[in-house]
Amino acid sequence: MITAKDLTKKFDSFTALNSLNCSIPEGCIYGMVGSNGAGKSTLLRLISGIYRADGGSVEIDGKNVYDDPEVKNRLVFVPDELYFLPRANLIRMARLYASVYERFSYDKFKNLVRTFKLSPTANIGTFSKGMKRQAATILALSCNADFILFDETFDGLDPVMRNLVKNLLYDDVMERKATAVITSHSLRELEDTCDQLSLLHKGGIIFESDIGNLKTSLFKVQVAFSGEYDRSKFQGVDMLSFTKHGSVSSLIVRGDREETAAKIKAMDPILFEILPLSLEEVFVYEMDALGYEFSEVLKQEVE
Amino acid sequence: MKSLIHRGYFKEMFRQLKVAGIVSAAILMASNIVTFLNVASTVGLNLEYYSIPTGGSLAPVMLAYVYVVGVLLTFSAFGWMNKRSLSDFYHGLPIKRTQIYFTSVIVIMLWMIIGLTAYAVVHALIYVVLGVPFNYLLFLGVYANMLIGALEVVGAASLACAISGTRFVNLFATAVILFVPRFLFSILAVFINSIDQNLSSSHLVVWSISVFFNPTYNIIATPYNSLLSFVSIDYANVGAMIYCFVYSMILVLLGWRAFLKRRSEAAGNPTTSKIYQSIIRIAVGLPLLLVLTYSMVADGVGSLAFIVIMVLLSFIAYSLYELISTKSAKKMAKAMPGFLICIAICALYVGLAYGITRLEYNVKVTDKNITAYQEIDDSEYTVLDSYMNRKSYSEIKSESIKYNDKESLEIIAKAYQRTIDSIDAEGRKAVPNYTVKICRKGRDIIRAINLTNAEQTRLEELREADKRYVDAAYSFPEGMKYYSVTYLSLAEAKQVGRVFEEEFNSLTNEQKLSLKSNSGWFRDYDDIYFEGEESAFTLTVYGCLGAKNYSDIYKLNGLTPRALAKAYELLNEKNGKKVKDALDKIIDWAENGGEHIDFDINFGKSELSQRFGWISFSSSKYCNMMYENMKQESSMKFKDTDPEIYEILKILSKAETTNDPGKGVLVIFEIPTSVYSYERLSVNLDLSESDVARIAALLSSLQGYEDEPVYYD
Repeated sequence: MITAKDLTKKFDSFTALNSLNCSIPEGCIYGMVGSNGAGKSTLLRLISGIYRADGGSVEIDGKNVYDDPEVKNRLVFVPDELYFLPRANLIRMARLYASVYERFSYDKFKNLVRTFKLSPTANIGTFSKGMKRQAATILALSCNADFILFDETFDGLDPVMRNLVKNLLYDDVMERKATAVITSHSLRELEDTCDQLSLLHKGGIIFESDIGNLKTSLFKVQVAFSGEYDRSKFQGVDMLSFTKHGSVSSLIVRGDREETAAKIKAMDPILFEILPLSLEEVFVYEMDALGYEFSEVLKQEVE
Repeated sequence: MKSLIHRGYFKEMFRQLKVAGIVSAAILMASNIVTFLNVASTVGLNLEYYSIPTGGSLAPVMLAYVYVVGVLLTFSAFGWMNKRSLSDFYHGLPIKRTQIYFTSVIVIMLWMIIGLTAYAVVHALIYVVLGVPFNYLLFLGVYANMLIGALEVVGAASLACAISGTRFVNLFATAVILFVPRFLFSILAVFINSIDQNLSSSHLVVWSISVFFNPTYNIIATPYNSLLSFVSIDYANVGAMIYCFVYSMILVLLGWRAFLKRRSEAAGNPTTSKIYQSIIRIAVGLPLLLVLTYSMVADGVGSLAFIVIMVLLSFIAYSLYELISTKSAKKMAKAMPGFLICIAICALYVGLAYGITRLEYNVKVTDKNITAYQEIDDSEYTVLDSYMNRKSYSEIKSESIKYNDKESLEIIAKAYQRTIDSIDAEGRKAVPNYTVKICRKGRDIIRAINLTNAEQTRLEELREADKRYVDAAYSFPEGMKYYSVTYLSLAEAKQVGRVFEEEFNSLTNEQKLSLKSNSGWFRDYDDIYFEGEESAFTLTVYGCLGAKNYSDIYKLNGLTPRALAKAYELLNEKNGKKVKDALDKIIDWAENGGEHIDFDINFGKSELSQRFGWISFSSSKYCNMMYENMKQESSMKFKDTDPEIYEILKILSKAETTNDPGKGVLVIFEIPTSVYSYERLSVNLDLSESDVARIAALLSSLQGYEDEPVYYD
């Protein structure tokens, strides 16, 4: 398990992470979403032991990561800005990884190279942006690390490759009980990939939840009654939002679906329907409830 | 060891530096081709045309390699620290930072050791294979020094990389770390010397305080410092090697500490801390200002224009560094007031120099605390010395003698005190004329002191009474040595040398001394002849005493008749027939004309040599025409145009060779073998007194001949 306690990181006068707390369980795909400058990359660099925290700590299974090769051998980080040796091909890079990562598997490397259909002998410098990211993914997955950290994983990948990477991640998580931590500024990108999701804003996690729960515990109810009514009619229902157009109201409710349905049906509505919310809608309402303006937190998403 | 070196990273780093390592080693090795060609061209040549390589001539190529490749490889190995993405990648690797650092340093050093060793082995082999004289012990010393020097450069560059984050600052920081500390020590010494130039002539007084002050104790900084204070390295000085090694290790360890503290996010920033940036900035601005201050202390305030220019240049260097390194005019403006620190340091230096000078004057030397004294060659540390085998065997052997007889020590102590006491506001009254190392109970000091003539004479007498000095002064060189006799090959000279050594050892000290040439600065440039003395032949002994090269010149004369006879015998045997044939050919040409022949004749013995000096004449086509035109008799033969010379040639051609030194006249012929070269042939001809007198008379009658040598061109 990755645990961050009161994690603080400053760059001169700018505070990138401010007393951040989070725990990432093993065997899951953990998504982190946030706008540029929210602190996603900084958090990943702290988790992978690249940065030294200015305050608090980040630990993997109770061990501090920074300058501990034993812990670092259990994780691999694919940054947003990739690095390959000058004029190196995939084989040369594999040799580099193999020389430092104890669990690097050449068999897996060969399989992945075949799967991605990349030339192992071609100069990586001549690869397109997407191909470079594929190359980095191949190398990272070949390390057989317990924790795989991806920063802006799907940036530059076409839809086919995105699905391929996602499937490979699923395989690793399922087969080896690995943990993947993925950041993106696109909520939609992570929606169908992650088990858990957190939202970073201005150096802190403002929201963290299991995606399954998130989607089932927050839903939209459309209801109409024959007579006049207002918000007060729904006392006992945990509403995040209430809007009324004519006799039809839309409610964003948090709680158990069956229980809520039973409560509203008992009020004898002339129209009653429960609608699922997209993850984005869930976030909008949750943010709203927390007092954040969603468009501010995820600017790019809105744009 | 495992905690310092990561096996996988070692392999990886070795691979990464492979190209740079091999290419640089190949370039270094290629320089051996030049060495080979140079050395090959001296094979079989008389040592007159050859000098055993000195440290000063052996070191530059390796030193350049150490400077350039040391920095290049270190920047390659640690270059990732300058770019954020690379820095993140390497910091993310599952390797301890300590291991990353030391593994990198070791790999860099390994490549440098490979390069230097390959070069050194091939270099030495060239001399072994070609059988040319070479001081292997000295070369080993130079090689060892270069390895340590490589560590110093790598340490400095590693430290620079660890504290800075751009290539520009890497380079400046490396230069500052390598050179500025030594520069500060040296300039302080120069300051002190400028206050009292006679405090110790070439041995600046502060050098004796601590090895830190001694610029010869730093292999890497010395060539640079020699621009300032004319010093060179003694490549056999183990103390200097240890000092330099320890200093290098300190740099490596400081680099390690800085590397551990360094954060990945420092990549791209000029330095990892503002203090480092300030130090480098000040170090960049300081040198010119210190030079100005030194000039003001040494020569007075000087012209205002000079002061303004120097301050301005210093300020520009200071500000420009800040602007380029930070790429911010705002930061440059903010840093400007810091220039005052440079000025404050200069002021501090002046105060420090005067303070240390005063302290040095207070050092007491009495016959109670003095244990010995050593003679010091004033110019021992000069740069030129490192390029020449200037010292004689006796000088090298005697310079380590510590004289400790009571009377000598009393003279030294008295002279020392007189020298110090003579200092007043107007300077010294007793001008120092003798440099000694005074061994005291406590710290040894080197001082230039004033000795009266009587004291000098007495010290010489006392030295003459010292067996160690006598052994050093009058013994023939021992150990590995090579002989050189003019016009004889190495092997022939060796035969003469062995005979000479036997004869020399049986002579009295006075006789031995009379055979030795005056050692001195111009000895290497002197002609083989001893001006004003009856000797046409000299024996030069080149050799190595430990790592030091020496050369001694001895006369071959009546005191060593067997050696001289041996030399004549070898010459006559080798050249007699050739000379005879050449003379016949010249006479035939002089009488009958035909294709022109160039030739020079030099009478190299005794009064002939004295009277006529170098007499040479030429009958080249061009010269002959000039001569004929002058006489308007273009069809005349040489015997008619130059009857005096013709007669001389006839006398010479009739003479037989002789090995008897008492009878012969050494005649040296230079006969062209091609357009650009000539063969020098000398023989000892049996000329009668009347023949010699006739030649002298004929030469006297030549137009233009007076006291100076006559040249026909």
